[in-house]
Amino acid sequence: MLDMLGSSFLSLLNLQTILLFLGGNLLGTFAGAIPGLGGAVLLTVLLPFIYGMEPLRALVLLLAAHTGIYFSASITAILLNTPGAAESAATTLDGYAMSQQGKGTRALGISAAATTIGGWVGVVVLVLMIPLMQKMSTFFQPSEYLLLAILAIVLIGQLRSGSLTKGLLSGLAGLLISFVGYDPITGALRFSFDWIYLYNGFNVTAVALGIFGLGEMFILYGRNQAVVQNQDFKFSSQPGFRVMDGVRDVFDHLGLTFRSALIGTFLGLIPGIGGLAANFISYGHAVKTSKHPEKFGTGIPEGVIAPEGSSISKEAGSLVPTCALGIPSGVGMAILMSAFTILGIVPGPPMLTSHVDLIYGMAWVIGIGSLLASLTGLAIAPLLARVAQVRGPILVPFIFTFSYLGVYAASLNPGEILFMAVFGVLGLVGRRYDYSLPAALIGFILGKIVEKNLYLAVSFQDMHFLYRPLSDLLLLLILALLVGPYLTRRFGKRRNGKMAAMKGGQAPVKALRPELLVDVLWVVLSISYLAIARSYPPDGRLIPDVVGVATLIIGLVQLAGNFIPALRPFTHAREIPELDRKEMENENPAIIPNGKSSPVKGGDTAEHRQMRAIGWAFGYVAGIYVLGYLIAVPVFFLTYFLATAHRNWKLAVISAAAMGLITWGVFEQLLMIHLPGSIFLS
Amino acid sequence: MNGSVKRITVAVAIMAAALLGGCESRREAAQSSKAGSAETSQASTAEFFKGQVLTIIVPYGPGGGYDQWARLVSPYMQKYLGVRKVLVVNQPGGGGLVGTDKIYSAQPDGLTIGDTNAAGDVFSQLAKETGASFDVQKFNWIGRPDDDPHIIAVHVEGPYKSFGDLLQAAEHGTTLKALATGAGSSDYNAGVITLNAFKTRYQMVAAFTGSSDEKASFLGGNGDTMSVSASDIAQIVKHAKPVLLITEEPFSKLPDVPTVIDAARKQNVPEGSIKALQAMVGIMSMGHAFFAPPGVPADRLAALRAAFQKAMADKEFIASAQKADLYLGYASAEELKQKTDAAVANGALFQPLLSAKQ
Repeated sequence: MLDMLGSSFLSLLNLQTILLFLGGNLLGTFAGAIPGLGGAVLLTVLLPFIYGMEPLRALVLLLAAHTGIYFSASITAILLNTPGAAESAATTLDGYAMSQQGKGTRALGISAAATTIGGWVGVVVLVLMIPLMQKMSTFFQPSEYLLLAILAIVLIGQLRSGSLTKGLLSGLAGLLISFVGYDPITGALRFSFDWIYLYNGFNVTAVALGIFGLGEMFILYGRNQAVVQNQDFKFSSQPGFRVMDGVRDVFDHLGLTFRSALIGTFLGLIPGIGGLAANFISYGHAVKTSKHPEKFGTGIPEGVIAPEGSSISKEAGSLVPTCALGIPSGVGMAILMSAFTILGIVPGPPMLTSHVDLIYGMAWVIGIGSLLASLTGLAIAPLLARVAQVRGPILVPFIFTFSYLGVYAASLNPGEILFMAVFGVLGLVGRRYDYSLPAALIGFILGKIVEKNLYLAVSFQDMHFLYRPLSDLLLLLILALLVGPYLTRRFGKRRNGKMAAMKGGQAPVKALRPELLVDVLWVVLSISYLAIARSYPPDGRLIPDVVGVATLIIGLVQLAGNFIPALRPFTHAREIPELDRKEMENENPAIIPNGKSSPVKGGDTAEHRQMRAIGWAFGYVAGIYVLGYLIAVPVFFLTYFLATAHRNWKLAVISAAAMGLITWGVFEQLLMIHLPGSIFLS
Repeated sequence: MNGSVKRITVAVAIMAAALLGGCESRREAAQSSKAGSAETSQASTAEFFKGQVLTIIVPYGPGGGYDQWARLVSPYMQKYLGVRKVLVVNQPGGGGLVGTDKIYSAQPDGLTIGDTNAAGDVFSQLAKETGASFDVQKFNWIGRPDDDPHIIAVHVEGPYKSFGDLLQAAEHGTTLKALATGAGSSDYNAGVITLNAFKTRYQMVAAFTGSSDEKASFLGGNGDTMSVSASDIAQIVKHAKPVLLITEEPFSKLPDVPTVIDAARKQNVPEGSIKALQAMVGIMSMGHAFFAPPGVPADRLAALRAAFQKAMADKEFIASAQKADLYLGYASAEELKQKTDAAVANGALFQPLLSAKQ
């Protein structure tokens, strides 16, 4: 094994391979920073270039780009709450909170160090696993997939929600929308309304970018400020704010870093569930094992280390099923399979005998690639962090544009940009009323996995799954997580500040009024959902029915909370009386998720401004549909920056020209993505 | 305010510069490839394709069989058609319907083609599925690259060694668990029709996102049979054993495996059911077929077909397909047209077996 490691490393050492390595890594690092372009898009674009290349070199190019992407997808997640790839949504939770406190540079340092160390842990595990790869095939059964999905939901379910019912409703909402589209179990098209854009369900990039990214952009626009408030302050050179502080954070929490990396590697091994859920599960585990779980979400280093530690290690893990069985565990690995075909490599047992040197080579690429990407990242972090000092209204149109372009590139479905805008509004509403966005996203990601594996487990395993040690272990973990908190509570410990705020939640009914509409909507929507589901075959509506009924029941409780004060600690607990909120705002403006009703100049309230941002977002979508991307992008920038609210003719002209050029040059020409044109011209 | 404007301007300028540099090098690459294919004929059709981009839409995600064929064939389509570039676009969704619809409704200028699960399309059309808004008889077939029959496989270390074993077990009260990708997919329908023709007791288990997902579950020890293509099990012969070919004719790469028609004769399956099975295997023999949307001018269509045929005969192409463990077997556009017409005409024959309760 050691000589194999050595020889495969030596085969990387030639000028051409090194250039491909650096080039791929750099491309990945840039593409990953553009929301939506992470994941599959860049890799697909690179595929045509590998024809006729030596296999190792081709894989070097692709994997170097892939590791670059997964590092830099976190950059926008940290700085702007806008995940560059769906996987990095978990990094927004504490990363963005750190940015709001001016610690963006430090968070980037944490991310760089944690991904690198995590990546190397993953690589070591991968190398150790190579001899065992063939036994992998019989390792996981449907019951384990199912239990893992449930474990993830339990871990994430109550994260960042204002009350018990709100956490549950958030997760249920994610599950409800995950059932949209083609159902392989019955072949039915569910909740698609004969609309071809919905046949494939919602694209995960659109959902993640919408609820996290666009939702935050609306808030940022509403506040009329930058992510970091104090713009003149030179954050990145102050102790506690520097890149090196972030690197030190990781070394202070090496245990957590290693655990996160191992979790990532393990989840990467499991095709179908690993990739998307890994970072969230890792975050959830960090919360549950922390001595101060209440601090998560307020911008603590551990909250960045956990998801970042698993971010590249999961990719190392997922090489195992890809190479050993020819079963890719994520979209990046699926493209690697395409590459294998082009290069004439057959994944599966033959690869382990005839091409094992390639697997070692790939392990090296992931390790070195994560280090390279991180070094690039560290070098430019202080520069990048300044994005967080750009005022919201100036930043917003750029993020809109990249999101709309990126989501189209990722899905090739023009419907997705509209859905993303809608999810943006849902993200805003959700944040405003203290719903849990992570729970909603994890519900969405895992909905179909739960449905499918429940069906498979019933078909194949029945109760026999209890004889499987892995299933039992997962079951125990879930039970421990569910029962654990009640046990600790009984011993009177771990009552945090949040709980104290709950006690004060006996707010007058009047303060709850605007929320009443949301509560009514839960009931109305879940009833309509159940009504629509009635036309689907029994197998196709079983799980949606269960989820729908659960939503209806909890929605009714939520509604009742408006009228029955006794229920309120469970339904509306964290509704903070206006007075307290003002106090907290003075203390630390970053902690309040949205500066509700803080008057901005000219009597323009934050709500009014948020509505205007939403108007711009939907107007932009309409513009794209009517004019096509190439015309709509420059027209939008001109209109936006010439409008009275942000008049700046210089910026209008320059941004319209530059963004138009990027749309045409990068997306149409370089990436060869055929962007939809004007409906009038086609 | 001014500071941020300056910052953005600088960032944008850098991006624009990077982008222009990228464009320049790409153009050079384009020109060199144009020079490389200078031997194209003088005819105006060849002129038309010269310098253009041919798009191949794949109605499934990367990594699967449809993606594999499209990507393998693309450099050779570029070579023989004389286009500047061939672009493979994955458009998954709706069990392949979204992408197939996109190919069918693409602008018929000959610059957009696709490869599709022709059998699945025929089944979708016959079942009048929502979303199947195409007419397979109007597809402009280009050709089929593979001869990769559909098979039923069992576990090598399982209790059943042959199709006969399976039938016997079912007779003695076992309910066979038959894996297929998704309800309504062609491999699912083939499984249902076959098992119903033999009056077997079975339960279809289908909830998979594709054949590799199905294979993973089978390799995990689940199910009694799986319904896949022969090449799907080429790499896992230690785990999966083919017991039945869903074909009329025997298959040279699997000489010991009986065809479903032979098996049916041996089991004295009624003549009506045999006719139904024959109609079904006709559909299943359409493989990974390439087609252009209806309305493509005849000369361009002819050029596409000719280029495809030349690609199929290219030594390098053959070598790369063999290296990737794929089963070559060219079929022409006419053959595909005949198969399609027969399939649509004979659809009624297997309808009772397809809709029979399991």
